[in-house]
Amino acid sequence: MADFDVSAARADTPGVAHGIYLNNASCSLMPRAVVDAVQDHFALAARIGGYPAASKEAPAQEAVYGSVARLIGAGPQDIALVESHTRAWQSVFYGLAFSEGDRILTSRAEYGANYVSFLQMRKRTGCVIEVIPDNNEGAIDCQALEKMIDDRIALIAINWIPTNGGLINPAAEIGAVAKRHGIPYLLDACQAVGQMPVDVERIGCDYLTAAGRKWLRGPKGTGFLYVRRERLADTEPAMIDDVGAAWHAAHAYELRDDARRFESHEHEPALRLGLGAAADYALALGLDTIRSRVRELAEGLREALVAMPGITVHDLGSERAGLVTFAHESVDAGAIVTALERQNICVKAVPREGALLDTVARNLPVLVRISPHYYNSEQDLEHVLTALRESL
Amino acid sequence: MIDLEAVRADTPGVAHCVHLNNAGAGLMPRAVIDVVKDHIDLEARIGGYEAKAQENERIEEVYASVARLIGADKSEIALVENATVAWQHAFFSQDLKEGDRILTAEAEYAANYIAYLQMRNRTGCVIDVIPSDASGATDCEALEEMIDDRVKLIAITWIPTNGGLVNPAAEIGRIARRHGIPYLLDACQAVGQMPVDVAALGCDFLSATGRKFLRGPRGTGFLYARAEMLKNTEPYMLDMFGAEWIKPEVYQMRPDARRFETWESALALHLGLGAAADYALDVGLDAIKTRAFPLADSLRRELAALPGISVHDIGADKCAIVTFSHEGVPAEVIAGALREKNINVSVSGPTSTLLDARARSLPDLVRASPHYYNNEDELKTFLEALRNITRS
Repeated sequence: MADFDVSAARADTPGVAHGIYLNNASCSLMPRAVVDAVQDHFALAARIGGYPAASKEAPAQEAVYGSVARLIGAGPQDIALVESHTRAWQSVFYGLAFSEGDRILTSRAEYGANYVSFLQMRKRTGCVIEVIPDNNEGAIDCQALEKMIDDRIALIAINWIPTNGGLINPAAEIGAVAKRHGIPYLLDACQAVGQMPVDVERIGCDYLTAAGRKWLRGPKGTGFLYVRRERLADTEPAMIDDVGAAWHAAHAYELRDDARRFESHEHEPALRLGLGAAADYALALGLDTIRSRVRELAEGLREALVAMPGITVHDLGSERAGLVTFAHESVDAGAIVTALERQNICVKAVPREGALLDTVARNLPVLVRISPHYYNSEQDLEHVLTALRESL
Repeated sequence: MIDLEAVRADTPGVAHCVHLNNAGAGLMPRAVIDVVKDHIDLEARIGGYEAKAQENERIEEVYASVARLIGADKSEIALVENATVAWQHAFFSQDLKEGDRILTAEAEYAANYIAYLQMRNRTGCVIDVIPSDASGATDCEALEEMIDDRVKLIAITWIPTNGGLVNPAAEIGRIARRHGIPYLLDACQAVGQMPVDVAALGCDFLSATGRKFLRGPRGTGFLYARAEMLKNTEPYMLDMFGAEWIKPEVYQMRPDARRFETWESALALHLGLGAAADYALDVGLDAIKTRAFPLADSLRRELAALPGISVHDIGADKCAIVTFSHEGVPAEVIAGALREKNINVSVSGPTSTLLDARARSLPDLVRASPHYYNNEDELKTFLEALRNITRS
């Protein structure tokens, strides 16, 4: 892409000086603006105390809600800031009331953490977990979904982009089905936010969860939750404290009237400010621009990998995200990751249980996952391909 | 004996403010600040998971440090993002049914009480408040009389947020043990200002924060879960860290207390928590208590001698939290005026401990909480400022 200024993006990223980082689907390298936002607030808290620092920077903290909201086309009052994607997802999921026989519809490539929660809920309530079939491209089959709908469906909960490959599920089409039938729709956007435009209105999801540390390039220990206003009235968080609700009368509490009812009392403002800086940074670059660049890098990488002897690329779907996964016929993923690591190239081996149903269905081995971001250079990819050719 | 000059030299914040809000968030010692800052920088340089791998041993050490602090085994410790989350994870994992009784204290913290109310709405359990004795502490004889086979949990705050009261946690523990009732102790205001020994306390769960008297970073907390309790306690929420997804239909919980954790966390903050625990252990918890408690006592005496001031602390043995009000100047005004002089205190409103506040008809209270690193000059500065504020 001619108009993307990769050298500017790299100049903003201290980490690129230390190696070739291609693990953005796990945890990206923070841009300097994020690092500074975290460090500056933390230093202020060390100097004048945690709460005085927080009140001094209250407007900046409040602005984080606006930044995150802009990132996904929501309003600031629809956003809860929490400590991780999992916390965001769990505080919604475990707050929903399931009864015996209620059906949860999910995807085959569902993330392990979510699926463990489904299993726990099934054990606790007797609800039923059902997997929506895939279409012939490997994405969720929306026609099949439509046929599964009946009045026992309590939730549709899916991964937009699974952890184990480039697949992008048709989140908006699913949203249209959910909306038509009035079924709550919880979208795990952990791998989507930061690598492409996200618009909750277009998607039609009721809840959307994401992490700060992945494609958004925020600090670890940050995540957020979006809750559609119309759903707020009938969604009580799984665990409430005195931020989520006010204790006015001895025997009653009153829930907050915005999405912050899902937050917990105490947090580290430095990390939140880092999350806000990450959202602002992504918005300034433009999510469309980011998506084009990521797509171009990932597709180029896939093409080159496919051409390499002994390598099979395992990414599904017609339109693919920045997660590139592959395996070699004889060298296992762990050995490949270690060999690359020795050359200061960081990629990731995706464990089979990350998306166990999909692993079993497709009989997948442990996969090598390379996840380039916009700040990665063409040379980064040449290096990793050269290193792969040499080590295999 | 504490070397006051040394601990003050270790605390950059004392050059910038008179910090008497250690019950809110203590000033971090340099050892804590540095470890957090360094780890964030490391993450920016080499990536979040790569930094985790590099610092793995030190991260493991944090569990041991926290365990040492409270006389536990490191397998009994879960590190989480705050005390509320630690407490909630213990509380909501209790399998309470209709008619089951929760016994709690009069000065129970709002966040906890809201969770009782939520649990009551969800299960039909009953919340019963243990009366206080003449000194204002939880009355253990009354507690003993309340016990029947429907009592399924004793959950109390050791040191309430709104004053110097220290509840008889160990005596309550003996009663809980005698009757085989799970005992959840909120030690949020205790850890870091005095010795804590879970064996002597006889508690099954203990929750605490990093940021208060322990002087760790905000956004840190921990849960202790007694090894025997783990055998039959399943967290209310599980992810792929708390449990392994071993077969498509089966998850297996971790054997240790980390089943209460989630996959993602801010490791920089965890390391800061570990440094704070190490620092407190180095200074010595006995020495800390021996300095902080009398410092608070002398403050109470001075305050009681000021015209128009009422000190509201109850209990026979009082800790380093001092609360007072003035007959004419509201607490918010006092705290705001002190803040302008770089003196940090906080305001404790009735809704943070609603039952106690109503029983004692408490107004908003000014809370001054000195720590061992505060010196006598700082208390004089505070008292002088207070005189001026309340004189006009």
